[in-house]
Amino acid sequence: MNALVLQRCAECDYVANFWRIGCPRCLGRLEDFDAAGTGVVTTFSIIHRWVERFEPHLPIVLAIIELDEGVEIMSSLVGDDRLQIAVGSPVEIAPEGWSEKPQFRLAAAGSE
Amino acid sequence: MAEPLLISYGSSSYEKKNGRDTLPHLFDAISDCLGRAGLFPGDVDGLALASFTYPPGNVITLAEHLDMRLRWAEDGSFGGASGVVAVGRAADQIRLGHARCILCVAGDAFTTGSHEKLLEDFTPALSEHLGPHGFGGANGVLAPLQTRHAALYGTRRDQLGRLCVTQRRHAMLNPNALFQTPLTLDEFLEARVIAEPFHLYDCVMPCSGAEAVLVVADDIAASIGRPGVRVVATREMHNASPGQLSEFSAGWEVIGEELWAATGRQPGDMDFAQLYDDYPIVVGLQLEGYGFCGRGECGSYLEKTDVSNWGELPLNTGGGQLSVGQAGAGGAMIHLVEAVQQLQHEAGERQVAGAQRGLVSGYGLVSYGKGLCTAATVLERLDS
Repeated sequence: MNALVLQRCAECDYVANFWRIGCPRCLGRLEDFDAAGTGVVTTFSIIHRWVERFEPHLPIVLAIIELDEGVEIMSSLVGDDRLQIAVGSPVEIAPEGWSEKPQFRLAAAGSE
Repeated sequence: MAEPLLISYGSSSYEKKNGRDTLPHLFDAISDCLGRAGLFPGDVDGLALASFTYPPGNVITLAEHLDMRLRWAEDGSFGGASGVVAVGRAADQIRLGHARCILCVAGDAFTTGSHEKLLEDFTPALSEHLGPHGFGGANGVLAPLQTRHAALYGTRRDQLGRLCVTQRRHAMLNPNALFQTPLTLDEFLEARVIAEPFHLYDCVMPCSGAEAVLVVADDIAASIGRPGVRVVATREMHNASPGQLSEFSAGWEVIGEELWAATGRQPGDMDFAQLYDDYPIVVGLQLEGYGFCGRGECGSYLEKTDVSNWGELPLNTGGGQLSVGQAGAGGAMIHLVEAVQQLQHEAGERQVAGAQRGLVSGYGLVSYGKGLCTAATVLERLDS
């Protein structure tokens, strides 16, 4: 199962874009929550060359995604249509991917 | 109050990967730099070091190795900003009277595979959160800047590529450059793709080498008898946009405005600019940030402006990392070495005629979605 877990501050609602030890804004306690798993591509790169163990996955589509929760994360896209990515493409969490980290796919046209 | 002056510079002979180790490169750069000033390690009382491959050695063990007795030391952990940060802080230490003769050195040596390993584990956030995505190293982290700039402003590869072509012309007049054959715009455009939109010649070639500059109190400078270069003003900024990933600027607008206010100068007063060049788009973003052109206009600026050493704004006058090679942390110092050489009027065939002042900017520590560190300094020949 490929779920996107983020952290939110129990005191001030700050949402972290990558794992933090505590809240950077109020130093409060961060709690995990399941993110919606949807967002929009801010920008991206298509990786054609990298270390050997990733060669089966090339070309890798690496993207900055602004999530519905309002934070920007970096992730990668899977799916045969991933090279169709553009700035502004809506994306959603992919049910399965090759990375140990959650990966995304292009959202179907018209889907919410 | 003592005035700090850059008085000398030095480089090791650059090698492609699998050459000599880090320490021989650091030694050669130090020897070249001190030798040019007629000084020895025993004359040095301040040392700044930046190196990814020298650890577990550090700035103090380098001093131990070379019998230096130090009153100030700094290990630069600011990636490609480490050189400018070191010179700015060294100048302040001399103004304060805490040290009088400060050597700033940076360099690295890589073997096949060791450079990629370094990039995969460059910072905690990067190894933890981007490593599992096969992120492509610094190429993959910074290529999205260009994708977004192209989408928002229409910036084209053939515009940015002109910078690489010009820097290659400069490199061919720099004996230490690893690239000594001309680069045409067509070759730039048609080179194999690495991390879209970056192709081969958008990317620096990792290599082995080291660079050094020497900052001394003005009375020492007078006894050395070489042209002094003032460190007029320096600013640094780190993690300029906390929690944000798609900002174009690493803080260049802010430190640029402060530098122009502190020096009473404007971009148009600069006889050259040495802007950190891991990728041409990063040079373009610095041109925008420091006010050499408007926001979003770096593509048209590079298309219309002669940035050669004989043109309107001589840019990366020694060929830069893109055409000399990126010797790890040495890339943080190479632009300072070139700037001092230009301002001492010792750059030979690539000399910018009558150069009196210039801007040097560093950028680096690529992490989660951006480079974290930047610093810039305005340097001026003393007799100007």
